[in-house]
Amino acid sequence: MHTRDVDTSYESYTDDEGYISANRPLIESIDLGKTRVVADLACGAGLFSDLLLARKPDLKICGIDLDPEQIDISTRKFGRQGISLLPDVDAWRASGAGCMLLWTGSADELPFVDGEIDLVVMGNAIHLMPDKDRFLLEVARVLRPGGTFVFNSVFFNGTFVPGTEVVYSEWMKEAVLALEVINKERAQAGEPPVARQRKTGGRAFAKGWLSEDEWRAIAEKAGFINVRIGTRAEPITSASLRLIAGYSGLASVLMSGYPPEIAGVCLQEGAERAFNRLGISEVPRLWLEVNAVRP
Amino acid sequence: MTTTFEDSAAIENKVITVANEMVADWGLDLPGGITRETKLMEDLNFESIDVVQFAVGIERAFDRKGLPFEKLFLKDGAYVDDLTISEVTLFLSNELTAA
Repeated sequence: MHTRDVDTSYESYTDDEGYISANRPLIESIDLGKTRVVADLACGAGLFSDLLLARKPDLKICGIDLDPEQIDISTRKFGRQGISLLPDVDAWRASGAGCMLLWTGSADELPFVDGEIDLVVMGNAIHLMPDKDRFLLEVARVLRPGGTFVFNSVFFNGTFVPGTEVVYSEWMKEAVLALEVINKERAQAGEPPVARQRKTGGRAFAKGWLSEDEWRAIAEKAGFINVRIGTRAEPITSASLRLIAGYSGLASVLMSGYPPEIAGVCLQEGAERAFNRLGISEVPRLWLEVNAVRP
Repeated sequence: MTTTFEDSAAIENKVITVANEMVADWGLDLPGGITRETKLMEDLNFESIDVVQFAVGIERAFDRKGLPFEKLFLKDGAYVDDLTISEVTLFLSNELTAA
């Protein structure tokens, strides 16, 4: 096993056709008739914006992400597509249709005035928001009356299709066994085992995941109406799991305290071993999809 | 088949041994050591990967691969808040007896 072979970026996963297919139905379901101005929160490499622009090229979109590397990736991506990229919020606000602002910042403190956004979207990231009540109030603040908030997540209570939980526990156990193999190889080479820094990952299982009912409750508490919540099963293939397993952000959570590049290798190896041992090539997982309207 | 008290005691001893080996150099303040009431998260400060390494250690101690720990870790589709040594022991008693 060689750590140099692992791709620790998120870009390769969001470019994966399986991941795109899992997200496309949600974006296709949005009524874009009166939508002109969009905020794409935690935009990452720009998948949601890309899918939206494919449907309506004259949208004016502001993509926001905490990670400057993700903003760099999306800036290059949309620059290659010839989209007009603006330097700051004022320039973006003053511009017409068909332009973008890609901005590094927190989705908790949006750079918009009250009611200036028609549609807020957030792809597979809302589970990471530390204060979900506060965040939903902030989204409601920036939406115009009648504006819509649409998000999805694959990290919620109920995400595992019953009977598939074994795949995830076997995956993680196999990842630990892969780490043991690495440590044996290191011992044979006279090297110390992979060092781990404890107390970097937080309490086990304290994921802050919510159920469908809990999401409905806090959306309504924030003042949203017509809250529509559903789930949809999408397959995660062995190849897709290997891609996301290498992502350093996930590796540092699932194998907290270990060097992300080594954790990524172990998680990739573990995914392959688990799928092979269980004799499967893919596993279905439920996506939570939410559409809510600001009155 | 019913698990006897002796079976459970032996299982519990093995579980405690695995836990002790894991936390040996963590510098935890554990007056009275690890007991059946000890909580993995609250008392031993387990992170998620610690739980997995604990599960692997248990499978090795009992020479049993593929134990369905997901039944222990998830209830009604949500991860449990914490686990005691006695809950792990009960889980193992049921699983090892069912085999």
